[in-house]
Amino acid sequence: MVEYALQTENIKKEYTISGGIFHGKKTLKAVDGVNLSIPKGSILGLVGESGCGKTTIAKLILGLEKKTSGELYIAGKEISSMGSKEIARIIQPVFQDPYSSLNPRKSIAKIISLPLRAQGLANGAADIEKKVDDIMEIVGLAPRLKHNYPNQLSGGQRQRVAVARALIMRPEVVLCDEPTSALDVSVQAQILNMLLDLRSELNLTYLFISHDLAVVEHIASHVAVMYLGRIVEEGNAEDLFSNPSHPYTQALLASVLTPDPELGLPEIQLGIEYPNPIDPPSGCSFHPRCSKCQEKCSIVAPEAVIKSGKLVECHYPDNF
Amino acid sequence: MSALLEVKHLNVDLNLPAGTLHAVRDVSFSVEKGKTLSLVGESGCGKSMIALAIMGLLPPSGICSAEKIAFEGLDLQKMSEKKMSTFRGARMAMIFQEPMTSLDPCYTIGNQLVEALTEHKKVSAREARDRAVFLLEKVGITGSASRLKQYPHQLSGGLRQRIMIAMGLMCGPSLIIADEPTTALDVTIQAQIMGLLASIQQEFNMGMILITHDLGVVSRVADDVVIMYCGQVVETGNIKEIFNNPIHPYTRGLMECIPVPGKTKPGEKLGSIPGIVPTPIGDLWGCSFRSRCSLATQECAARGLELIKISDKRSFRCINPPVTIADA
Repeated sequence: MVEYALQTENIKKEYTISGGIFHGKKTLKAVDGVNLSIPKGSILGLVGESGCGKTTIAKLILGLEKKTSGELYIAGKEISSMGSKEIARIIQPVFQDPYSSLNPRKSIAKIISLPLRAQGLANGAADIEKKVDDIMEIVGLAPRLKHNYPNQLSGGQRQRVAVARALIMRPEVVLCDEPTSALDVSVQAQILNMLLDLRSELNLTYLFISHDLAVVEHIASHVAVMYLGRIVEEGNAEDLFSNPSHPYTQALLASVLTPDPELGLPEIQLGIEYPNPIDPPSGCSFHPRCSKCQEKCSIVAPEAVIKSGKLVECHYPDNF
Repeated sequence: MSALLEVKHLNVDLNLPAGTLHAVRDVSFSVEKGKTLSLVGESGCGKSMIALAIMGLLPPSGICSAEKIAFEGLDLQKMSEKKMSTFRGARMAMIFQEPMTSLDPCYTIGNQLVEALTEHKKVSAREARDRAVFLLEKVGITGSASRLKQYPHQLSGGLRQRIMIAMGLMCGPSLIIADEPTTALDVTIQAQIMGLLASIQQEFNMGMILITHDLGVVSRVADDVVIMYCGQVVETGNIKEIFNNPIHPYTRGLMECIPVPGKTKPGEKLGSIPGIVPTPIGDLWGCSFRSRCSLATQECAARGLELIKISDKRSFRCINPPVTIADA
């Protein structure tokens, strides 16, 4: 039987926001019934445009936001029965911007060792120092940087510090929220290589959130495509990228600009506007931007269909 | 045909407390009408400084010296600040990376678009408004009349960047400098905005300088490429030459760094350039890439490494190129 590091069942998160003085309250469905399961040791890539709810899922999993309904299991345990420290011991995040996610007034050694000290997992200063040295070596940081401050480090080094901080307690799952999008390409490659190495060395599970499909294809074993709070397509990476079924996945893939001077710019039929999540379109939420939209799409919301390990939520999917 | 913009031996130094930072060192290039030149490099390589130097917008600590910065045959260095300000925005426009911060949140889109024109040309408010509506339609914004009354915060990132492009076009410039125009946008919007920029540039026959670090974007829209490292040009050439036969170890390293669907094997290691970009402060000599280059020898530290020209447009700065020039 497959052991799951992380599972969500029909998880929902709604925010109540003010619609203005005369309009009363409105509900924003940031995450609208998402089912994800990540087997131990695998990498799930979560992709979608900004505003689709990727980061809200990350916050729910980290216990930073409370879910409205649904169930979320971390290593087999329901999240609401866990304390925040217990969650943090199993899941650690790496955020997008290493310039704002590190405290500028603390030294690198202090930043990296904070999870140990917070959890009370270390036996004295010598133990902390040894663990910091070990993890710095693993992520490829020179030991002399220990007493430096974040502003003295480059972007790539800072991201390594963030990874070291996430890994020092040896968590099972690492949640990477756009970990390379603030970095230069040559540094991005270094970090991606490191993440792949660490996974096999430390037997980690990644939830890798990104809007860069080329990066996700490179790193992920499974991919879920999100649109307006719902997963519209999910499957193993190779199959999903070579054989996309949902028109949105197809459009996303067509927008990836691979470096090839022989090709021109792709024709994207997506229209300009990402819909307002407070006022989502009727029926299939993607229908106003869809090139294959038919009458039924604007009336009935499609159900998720699972066939040979692939999930698609569309009335008229391709090759499915 | 004479070039629209010609930059020869441009140097930009920044006086910082830590010493003089040589942000741009001996950079030369030219942009022709209707063509796109792309400046490519990692952050801190001086590409944005070049744009600011051309526009005359360097920070107070910046010192710019060049043999020639000629725009439409006029020497921009000799121009007075007053004359320069009639050029800036009118003859040459700039599109910045952050559409959120480069629009004024206190004024409507219409206000800002109209001001861009009335600032430079004697036109009535109605004419300016008509031009704004015309350009908003050009950049693919529907219902443009009502859009003019909206404020920047009411629009999405993609729309804002379209507005920025429209604003840049208000006076009908002949040169457009786009500094990372799509970096802050989603992939789907990125492809649209680049397509829009390219088609508008063709339609109005403008020259474009596209500053970016995204080789994917460059390969699809640029005609010529200048690869920069640490303030210096390391390789220049036609887009196809650069992508099909890169010479400089840095260019080759950059190309191997990016995962390409269908080419790089998923899960396999990407090529990477070890180390970090050095800071160009103080006395510099030799090849700046030698500290990260796997092919570096002692000769690479020699002074006075010049660009080696192999054809009219193609040149590179390396004494130990990993390929023989005949192949390239």
